Amino acid sequence: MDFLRYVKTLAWKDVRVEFRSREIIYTMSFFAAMVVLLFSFAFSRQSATSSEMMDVSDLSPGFVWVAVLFAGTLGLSRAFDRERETGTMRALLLAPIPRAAIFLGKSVAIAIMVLVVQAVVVPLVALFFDAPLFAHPLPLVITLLLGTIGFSVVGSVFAAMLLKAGSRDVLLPVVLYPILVPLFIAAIKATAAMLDGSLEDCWFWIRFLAVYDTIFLIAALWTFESLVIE
Amino acid sequence: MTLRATTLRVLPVLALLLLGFSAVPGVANAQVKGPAPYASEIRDKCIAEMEKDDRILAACEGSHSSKYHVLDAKQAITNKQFVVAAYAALWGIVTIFVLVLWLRQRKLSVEITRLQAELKKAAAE
Amino acid sequence: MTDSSRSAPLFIGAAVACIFGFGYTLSLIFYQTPLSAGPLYFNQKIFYYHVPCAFMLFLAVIICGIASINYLRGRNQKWDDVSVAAAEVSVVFGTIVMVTGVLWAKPAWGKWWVWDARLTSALLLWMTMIAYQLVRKYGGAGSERLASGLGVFAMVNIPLVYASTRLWKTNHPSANTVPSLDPSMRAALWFSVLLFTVFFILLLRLRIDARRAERRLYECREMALDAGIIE
Repeated sequence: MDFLRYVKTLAWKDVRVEFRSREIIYTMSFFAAMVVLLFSFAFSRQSATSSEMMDVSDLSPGFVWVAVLFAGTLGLSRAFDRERETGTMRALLLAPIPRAAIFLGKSVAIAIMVLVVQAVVVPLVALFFDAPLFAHPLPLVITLLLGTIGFSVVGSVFAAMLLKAGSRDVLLPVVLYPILVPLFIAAIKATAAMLDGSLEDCWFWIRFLAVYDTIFLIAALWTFESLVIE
Repeated sequence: MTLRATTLRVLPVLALLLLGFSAVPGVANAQVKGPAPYASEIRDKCIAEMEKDDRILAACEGSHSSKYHVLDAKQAITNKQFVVAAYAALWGIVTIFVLVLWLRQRKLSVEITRLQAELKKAAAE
Repeated sequence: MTDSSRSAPLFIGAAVACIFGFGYTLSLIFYQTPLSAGPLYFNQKIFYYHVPCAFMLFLAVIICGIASINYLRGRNQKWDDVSVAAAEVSVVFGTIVMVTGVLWAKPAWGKWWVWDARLTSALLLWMTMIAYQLVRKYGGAGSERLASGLGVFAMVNIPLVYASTRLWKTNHPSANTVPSLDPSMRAALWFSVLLFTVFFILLLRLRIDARRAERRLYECREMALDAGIIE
């Protein structure tokens, strides 16, 4: 159980640092809100017959997840930049704790930040586009949670690897997005099924998300061990 | 003398025979391509019956016109362009890749041999 | 380069066999298989090269993934060479698959691109391998580790990508049902697959040799720098 304690301590360290300045959470949330706003400008159209705006609530799963993905990438690179600037990553790697604990602590911290962003984005989309996102709270929460876990696990691996790379800000989305596509599809499908009220489909995609998370958690734990060596 | 005379006489015949045999496959093909319409009572009856039906006639009317042949031919020709383009692209990409690889490899080996020679020279001095 | 010179006769033999083999496939494809019935006609001829190239794309990604795992495990440069070579060859085959696929789709489906599962998953794999190249090129120091990580993840991702794209478009019109193939067509296809596999191995070999030469050059440079021959 030492392992879990390490993870908790490390995650708590990151969260405390973050809540002292709230830099990442504020900027990420603002950015995500801005992306949603841009979507509304891009996809809302006036209907041909009346002066009403056309209903685009069926696109809202896409709005939510693209905003989360973009903002999450931003937060990822910022969170790891912080480690680099202060040199804490080296200290952590030198500390007598398992590498897997470092990795998990970092991903948990990032997952918490992404969840905060989602807490802003989801109500915002529901409000702007009149989407019944909160009709099924339990599947919604599970989908958001599983999507966040997958994102932060894969994202932490690559962000940690890119810690030393030259053009890491550009390379992070380049390597991250192709790997995240199955997660993205599943998350959007699950959310869309929720909006349609077809809960059976929704649970199917949630299971898919769980499978994705499990596979990449294993792969990430294995690779992180051998990847991040000073 | 007689032997030579017979050879002389036989050779053209052989050549002609050879020519004839070589034409056999073509003839066979020609036969396959255009079989004679076979005679049958039912066939005649069928044709006669079909000709009575206006609807069948109407349906058949357009399909034998040259318009459809032209359309089909056009389709086949455009497809041909796509096929040619696809194969050209494939071989183009492969050739470029191999060429680039080969040129790079050659440049590298030249550089390596040059450096090695210089190193050897430096070691000797 | 001692390694490559030892296997040079085999390499050249295989290359010559490949050239003749490709000539033979052309004759198989264009003269010895019937024209496809249905709306495809002549266009179906693309299929015999397109499908093997797609196989090679997947094969290359899997080889890259396995080589990456081995590299991360033991840090043996040999495996890194294999991984780099496989990734680059996979981009070449991916490009071929995309170009020929698009040219096939236009007459077959009337559109250049359809968001079908197979197309989408091949596109994603191709994009991942391009990302791999970008990482290699611009990742700076330590990029080989990052690239290996990407290689492992790309391989792990294959089934997930395929499953998700297939389920994403469940009600796609079944325009891509492969017509029941004539035996001669099947024979031509499998011969072509075999040939492309040999060709793939040759390309891989070539690229690995180039990579080794690069490293040797680097070593020579270092030695020359130490000796003070070059600045």
